[in-house]
Parts: sequence; structure tokens; C-alpha cells
Amino acid sequence: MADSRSRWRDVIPCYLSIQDRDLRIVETNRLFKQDFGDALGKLCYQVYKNRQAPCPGCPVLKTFEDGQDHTGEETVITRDGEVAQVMVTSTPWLDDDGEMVGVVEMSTNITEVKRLQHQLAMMGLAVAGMAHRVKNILMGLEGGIFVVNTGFEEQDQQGVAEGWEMVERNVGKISRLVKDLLYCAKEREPELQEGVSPAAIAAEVVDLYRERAARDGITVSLERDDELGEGRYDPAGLQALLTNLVSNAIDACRFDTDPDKESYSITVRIARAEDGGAALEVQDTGPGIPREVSHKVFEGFFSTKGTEGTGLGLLVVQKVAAEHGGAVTFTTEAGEGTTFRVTLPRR
Amino acid sequence: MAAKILIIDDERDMQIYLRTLFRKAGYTPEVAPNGEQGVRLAAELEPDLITLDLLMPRKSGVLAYEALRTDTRTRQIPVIILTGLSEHRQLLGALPDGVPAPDAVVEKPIQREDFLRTVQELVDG
Repeated sequence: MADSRSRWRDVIPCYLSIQDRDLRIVETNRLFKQDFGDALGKLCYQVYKNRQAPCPGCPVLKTFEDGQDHTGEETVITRDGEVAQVMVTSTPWLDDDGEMVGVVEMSTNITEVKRLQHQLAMMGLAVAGMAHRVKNILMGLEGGIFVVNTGFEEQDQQGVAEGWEMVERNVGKISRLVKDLLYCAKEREPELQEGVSPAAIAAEVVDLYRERAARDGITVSLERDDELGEGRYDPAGLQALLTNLVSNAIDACRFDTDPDKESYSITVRIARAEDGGAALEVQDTGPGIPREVSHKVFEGFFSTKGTEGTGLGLLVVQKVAAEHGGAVTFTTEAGEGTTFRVTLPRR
Repeated sequence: MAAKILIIDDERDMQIYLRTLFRKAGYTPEVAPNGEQGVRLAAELEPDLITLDLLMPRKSGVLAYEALRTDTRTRQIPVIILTGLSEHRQLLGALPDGVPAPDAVVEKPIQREDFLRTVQELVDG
């Protein structure tokens, strides 16, 4: 009975341990053993964090000092090398005479809670970013309406036409924004079709941007490997992916501040990957991505383009790649340029 | 004679909008689509005011501002910088020594009445 009664500690979904005054672990429960191995006799900071000294602000030490309960949040590493965030509670372990002989440490894994917390914070940023973006499009619409009205007042046909053009352009911006948002937000099933040629889609995208880019001294060209034929892809997705990568590359070159560079080139490469799938590459000779922002490029609503960027482009790229079971990577060098690579495995 | 305002902006929407806004308010607007042309036109036309978009390709907003403030023919002309959120602090923060701050910085989206008031004040000197 006593034995089965003590088994309660093995069913609670928390790491339980008792440490002595030297912070050596003298008891653990099953979950603890499962994730941190047999730790009896070892120092808790070594087991939890692979440290050589007690962790700063250790709740167990505090309990040894004042005999009270303490709580805290810690990041620990399991024996599989996984990083987990835990909420720790420490409480005195007393013997029959009421003497503190150890401290019971109970840690609850809150990694998932933390992840959701981060997501919520990101969503807050996203909403603020959206508001700003929409505000700018509204300004374009409002400006367009002002120009149309002025045209009517002055019976100036050309003014009306110009204002209407502004309205149309900004409606176009909203519809692109909404499309990007839907790509990012929805769990959508990609519309995979047989007989889709990535090279043909790339050619369309390159044609679409060639002229606009040339005005800023940027040459956009396509290198296609004829070995990659048609395959099973989502054509609209591929188009969105390539459009985003190419227009990003153009913006990078347009807003380069290097006074010595006169012209730029962007090369789109479509080739057959080793596994028979598609390897897409967009290489630019722009300024490169600064080290301090390179880890943020795939974050939603992160943009260095001021009012022009939605911060959604690379999210769309990543999403489309993932829908095809593929991945996106990039290499970048200051002053030399950036290359984005997308691999779409054969399906 | 109507005061002349030079609009230096690469965005077509802003060119049309500002041109209409200024013309309706009784000014004579001129448009330059990039920094280089803007600096040249400014020296040629000697406008009463310049509005300058800071974020244009190839850093040309900032370079144009420096040029306008260095050239003796244009250095006295008031300049309103138009800019998206907060990027001006970074860009204008890096101006070389001796280049004075702009006469006004207006963040987009512009508030029509406030903006026109600023314009009038600067034109009146």
C-alpha cells in the first residue's frame, strides 16, 4: 500500500525532484527520469542546464535560505537536447522534527504556453503593421478621390482620369494585400495540378517585371534548365512565390545606397534538383541583407521598406514552399547581393 | 504672381495628388520624378518651396536634400520633407556636418489642412 501510495508522484505531469543542501538530487519522479535521465546524486544545475555553478536566482537556494516557497521561470535542456521552458516551484522538505532536510522542486513544462504567448505578441505587431499599411492605401484612395472631385469641379477630364487611375491603383494594392494575407493566414489546401511548368511561370514573372526594373538600371533575366519539365505544382502559389522573390530583389537594388554601383542584375534560375524536383533561385546584386535583420526576414510584418512593405512577402514564399513539401533558404553578403533558394521536392 | 512649388517625388500617386492639391490652393506646381532632376530644376526654376520625398530609389531623397542645401542657388529655398513612418529620423540623423535640418518634416499620410497651412507659412516666409 505504502508503495503504491508513493507512486502518485509518477503520474503527475511535472518534473519532481528533491535536492539536498549541496543541490544534489536525492529523489526524482518518472517524468524527470524520462526527460533528464538517471540524475540521482548529480547536481541539479548540471542536469537541468549543463552549468558548472548554481543558476542565478535559484528558487531552491532561496527556499533553503528562508524556508519559504518560491517560484520562477527557467529554460532547461532535456537529455535529447530539446530546450524547454519550465515554471519552477520550490518548497521545503521537512523531517519528522520539522527540520528542513531538502527542497522539493516541481517544474511544469510551459514551452507551449510560451510559444502561444509569443504568437499573441506577434499578432499584436501584425495588427499594428496592418493598420499602418491600410492607412497608407487609404491615403492613396483619399488622394485619388480628391483629384477626381477636383477634376469634376473644374470640368477637367484629364484630372478625373488621373484621379480615377489613382483609385484603381490603390484598390489593386488592397487586393494584393488581402491575397497575401489569405496566403499567410489560412490553412489552405494547395491546388496542385499536373502539367505545370515552373520555368514557364518564371518567364511570365520575369516578363512582368523586366521593364519596370530596367527604368532603375536593373536587368532581370531568366536562366532555365530544360531538363526540368512539367510537374505537379500549384500554379497560383508558384506565381505568388516568384513574384514576391523577384519584386523583393528589385526593391533591394532600387533602394541600395551604394553610390559606386551604376547597374544591378537579378537572375532567376529554374533547374532540376538532384531528386528530380524543382530548384528555384533568385539572385540579386543588391546591398545584401544586413546581419542585424537577417534572422527576422521570415517573421510576419517585418519590413525594412517603410510604407511600401507589407512584411508578408517572404511569409508567402515560405508558405507556398511548405505546401509543396519544400523549403526556402538564403545566402547574403554585404555589398555583393542576396540569393534566395527554394527547393520543391518531386511529388 | 502665384508662388511656385517644386514637388520631388518618385511615386506617381503622390505627384498627381500634390500637383492637384497645390494647383487648387493657388500655387504653381512643378514635378521632378527623382532627386537628380529635382536638384537641377530647383536651380533652374528657383521655386518658393520644395517638397521632397525622402524615400526614393538609390538614396536620392537624402542626396538631393544635401545637394539643395549645398548649392548657393537653392540653399535659401524652404524644404518640406515628406516621409513614411519614422524612417526620416534615421536618414536625416546621418546628414553631414553643416547641412541644416529641413524647414519641416511631414509624415505620410498627410493631413491636408495641416499640410497646406505649413506650406503657406513657409511660402510667406
